[in-house]
Amino acid sequence: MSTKLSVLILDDEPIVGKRLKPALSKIGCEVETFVDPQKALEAFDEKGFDIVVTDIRMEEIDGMQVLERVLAKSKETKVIMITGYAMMDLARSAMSKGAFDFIAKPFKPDDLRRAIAKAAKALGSSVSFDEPDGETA
Amino acid sequence: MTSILISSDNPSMGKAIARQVGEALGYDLVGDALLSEVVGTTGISKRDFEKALGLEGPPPRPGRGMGAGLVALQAALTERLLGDNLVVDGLGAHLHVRGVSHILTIRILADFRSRAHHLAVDRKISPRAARRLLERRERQIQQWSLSVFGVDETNPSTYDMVINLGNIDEERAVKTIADTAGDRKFVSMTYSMKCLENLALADRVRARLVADFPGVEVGAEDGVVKLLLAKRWFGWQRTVETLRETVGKVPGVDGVEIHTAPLTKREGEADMTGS
Repeated sequence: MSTKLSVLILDDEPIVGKRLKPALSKIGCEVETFVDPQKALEAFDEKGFDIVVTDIRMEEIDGMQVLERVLAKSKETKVIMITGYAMMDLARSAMSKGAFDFIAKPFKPDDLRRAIAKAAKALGSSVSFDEPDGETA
Repeated sequence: MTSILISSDNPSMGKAIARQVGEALGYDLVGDALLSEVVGTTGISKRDFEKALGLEGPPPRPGRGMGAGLVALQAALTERLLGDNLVVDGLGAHLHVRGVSHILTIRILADFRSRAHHLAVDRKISPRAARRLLERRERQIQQWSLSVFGVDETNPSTYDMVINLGNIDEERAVKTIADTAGDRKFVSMTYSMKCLENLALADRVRARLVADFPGVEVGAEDGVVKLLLAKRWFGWQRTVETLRETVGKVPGVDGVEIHTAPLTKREGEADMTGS
């Protein structure tokens, strides 16, 4: 693992990656964003990432498939699911399949930073997350 | 972090299972002690709480008394559930805390024949009369839980797991519950904690309002409290100001929205008087 946490953000809405990238860079993560799940998985296969943040509802390959494929390749990677269609069944299903966290949209960047900090800790690393930020992603 | 809500059609049996599950997992037990705390702060007797929760005597008619007591109990309960690893014994928790994915809900059923037998002996009535009495009570409980909480307590799909102690022994039941609690499905996550925080905030506000505004419905999302008032009455503007001021002082409240349309309607459709 490099000194900086590598984070892959996948969401078919470009605005999400655009807004989250600076929010996570601010706490010392190295972030790459994708809107196409296939390209995101290719990048994951090629480089590997410490943390994957993925939307669930996407065309062709959905977030649950991304979760399964990422964990099949690397059990150590922490996968954080984000969705605008959060429901108890879906949340339980994602956790059961090995997701590290599940976040309902809209959320504040702090919610994701907090989840990233937890994931970093689980990976034996750390990020410099301390200050709250009221913005909503 | 997971919490477990255990309820039963035989409260003493539910209590025994809850205690054993708590011991098996090393979780704190929430039950009588919390009820005693709320009894102390509200001055309402424990027996009245038990009646209001449908645990003793015929279920109360909806809207009859105990509003403030139940609201206080629910607020105390959700506040506790924000903490780590708990087993809740009864307290009507299964009827109030819904849709929080890291909370495992368990229904313990006592053997029907054995319950009927004990009732027949206690009341000196025939076994057939005892069975009829139990069946009638179940129908009453079903109607009561639906009308007061919008949840059918007798419907198995209300719970994550239903265990019939007529067929499964206590030891096995405790082990099954403890094993299930270890499933990743019931691990807390950002989403489930938000759901719980929203409920706890709504409960805190409800507890603050119940004495002066018992008819106000309360919802909360991310620090923003949404109040639903059934109708506009004389002195509306003053009421709105009072509500806004009162609710604004509740810890955790960042904003207040006052609606006169159902909370389920989309924001744009609601008649908001300000935010």
